[in-house]
Amino acid sequence: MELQVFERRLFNTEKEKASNAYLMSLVGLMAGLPLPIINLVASVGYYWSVRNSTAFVKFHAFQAMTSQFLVVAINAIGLSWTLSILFSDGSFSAAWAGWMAVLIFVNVTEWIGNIIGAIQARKGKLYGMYIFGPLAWMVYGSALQKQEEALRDAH
Amino acid sequence: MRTKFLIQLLAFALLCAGVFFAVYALFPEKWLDRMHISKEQEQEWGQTIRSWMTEGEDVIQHPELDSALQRIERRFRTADTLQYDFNFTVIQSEEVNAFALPGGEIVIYSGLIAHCNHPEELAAVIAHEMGHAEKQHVLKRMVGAVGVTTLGQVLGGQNGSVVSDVIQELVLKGFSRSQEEEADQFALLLLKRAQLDPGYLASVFQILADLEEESLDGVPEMLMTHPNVADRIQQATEFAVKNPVETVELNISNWENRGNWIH
Repeated sequence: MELQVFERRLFNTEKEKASNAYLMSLVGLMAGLPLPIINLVASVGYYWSVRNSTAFVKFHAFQAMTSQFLVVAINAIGLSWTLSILFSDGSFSAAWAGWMAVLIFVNVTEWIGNIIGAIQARKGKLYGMYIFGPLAWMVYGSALQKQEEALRDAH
Repeated sequence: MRTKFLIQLLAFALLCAGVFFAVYALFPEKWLDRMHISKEQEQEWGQTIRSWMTEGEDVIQHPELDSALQRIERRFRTADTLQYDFNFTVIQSEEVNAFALPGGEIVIYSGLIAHCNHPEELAAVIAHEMGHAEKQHVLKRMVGAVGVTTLGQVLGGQNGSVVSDVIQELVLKGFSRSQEEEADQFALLLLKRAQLDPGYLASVFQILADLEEESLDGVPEMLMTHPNVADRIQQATEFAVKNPVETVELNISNWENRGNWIH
């Protein structure tokens, strides 16, 4: 995802907005634990709030939001499974332990991805996360390229 | 970009599956499969725990009672393939309880026998405990709590009086909901195959629930950890209705005089 001209001509406000998308997810995740939905609500709300912004901001907000869907789905299953065991006095099975390991792995990966995303977006880089980068590019790639061409022509 | 997305998605899914199965395989319950504990070893452990738990207790040995228990065991053995040779120990106690130990050892309190109005009710309890034994619930719990090595050392008499206390606690603590359901299901099927009315499991639950309500005794192992006994009674009753059996009574003579056997 190389858009050199575009990246050099970004306004600071754009970089900040893009970076905030990841910070919003992180804060939502920390504030919302163990409830797994607040981070998703925060990300969706943020994505909605920047819907009229530039492609660069929307790319990052979309990426931050979609990455939350995976985390929320995995956390929701983990939480409901754990609660069902605690309230029905079931057993912590091997399958439960395996799921919890996946949950921790995905959450940690997500935190790292969000922190890197926030830093890179603040630098004006079009940082693509694993899986969600290509997905965001499929949605906003052409808009980003058109914007770059327009900027290049104008320059 | 679509291909890149799909490749990354697949790689991530595989990585997650790797994490899942690595932890799944390491979970204590799975140790049993890997350790290949022999039936003989298990039986030896069961006998050791039984000797700890019956120490100082009045063990009842009455020919008619032994004969009744053997008759029940034989009925089940001819009806289904059981992996253990079951051995019953009856303890003189007002408590209404029974529990399974590893290797096919089953301990029954005389209070339970006294409260069973029909021998088929005792058979239902025994079928339930056989379920715990056949599914290795006690062994899995012990291995999970103290590990195979420690378990082997303690049950081999090497050391660990504290651990032996823990093991005895685990035996009496009751099982998880899923394990109880598994034992119930096992008992219902076994009763059906043995041409005994599965409804007797419901009636024995009812007896235990009534006793619990009256607080005459401590909560029996069969009901422990299970606030919703009504559900289990309903499930057993529904099973009996849906699976009508041409029943053949156990014909244990003198059952009404069982009080003489256990006093």
